[in-house]
Amino acid sequence: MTRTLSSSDTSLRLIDDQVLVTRTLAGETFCFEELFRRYSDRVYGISLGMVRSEAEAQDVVQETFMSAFRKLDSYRAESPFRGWLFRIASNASLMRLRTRRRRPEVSLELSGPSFDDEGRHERPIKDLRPLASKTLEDQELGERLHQSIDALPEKYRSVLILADFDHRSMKEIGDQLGLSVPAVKTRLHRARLSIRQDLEVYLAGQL
Amino acid sequence: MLRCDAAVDMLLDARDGTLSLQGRQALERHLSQCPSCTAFQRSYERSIALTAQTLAVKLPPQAKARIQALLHQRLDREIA
Repeated sequence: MTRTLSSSDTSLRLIDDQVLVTRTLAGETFCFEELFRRYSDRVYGISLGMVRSEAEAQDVVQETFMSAFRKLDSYRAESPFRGWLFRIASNASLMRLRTRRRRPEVSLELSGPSFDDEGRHERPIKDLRPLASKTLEDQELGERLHQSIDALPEKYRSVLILADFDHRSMKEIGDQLGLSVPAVKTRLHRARLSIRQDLEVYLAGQL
Repeated sequence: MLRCDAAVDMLLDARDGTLSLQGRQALERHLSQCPSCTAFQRSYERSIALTAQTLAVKLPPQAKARIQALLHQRLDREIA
């Protein structure tokens, strides 16, 4: 099928993912290009979040869609296509991380809140509501967040991306990474607390 | 009355959708009476939302066009 998908090809935009998959399998490969149009940004977000290199993340996008195309007949319609695709993307990203030179495993210190012996908060909790009006058009805040995410050790960052960007449950993340749910929970909480702590520091500097 | 350390732990399960109904009710009761945990929950949720926004990047248009052209070429070759 030599037809190329163009931006004016709006008829495909209304078609359900599952129908596009079926039509791709029937040889209409331009339908797969519509799936690329729909999900390439999201796949890029997952891979860039994990591998933290634009060039590598772009390679992962390419690999993900090629791999998805080759495995398309193994996709089962009971689960959403996008979830299946994003899992391929996160697996490809994790594979890249594994092949990088091994760095010593780093543990992240728990960065609050702390509790007294009775389980009460030891210190007042900083209110981040002033950040509620800030958007990522605030370049400084965006940069600070990128730095915070970059600074997370890989094992924490992967869990954070899967939970808070890919919206996977702790059980699904554990299955994918070969971790217990409590281990996922610990990593996720520490990663979130670390970012929250950085935002507190950022906010203190703004006031 | 639920302790603050337990309430913070339960916030994660609540977000994950794995907290029992009983747990959710206990957490809600605690949050309604504890300004510290309420402030923590707000700030925690805010930082999660900002993280998700930060990660929602777009594939640069040139890279998108390049990968799409490559896919087009390869898909046709694989089908042939």
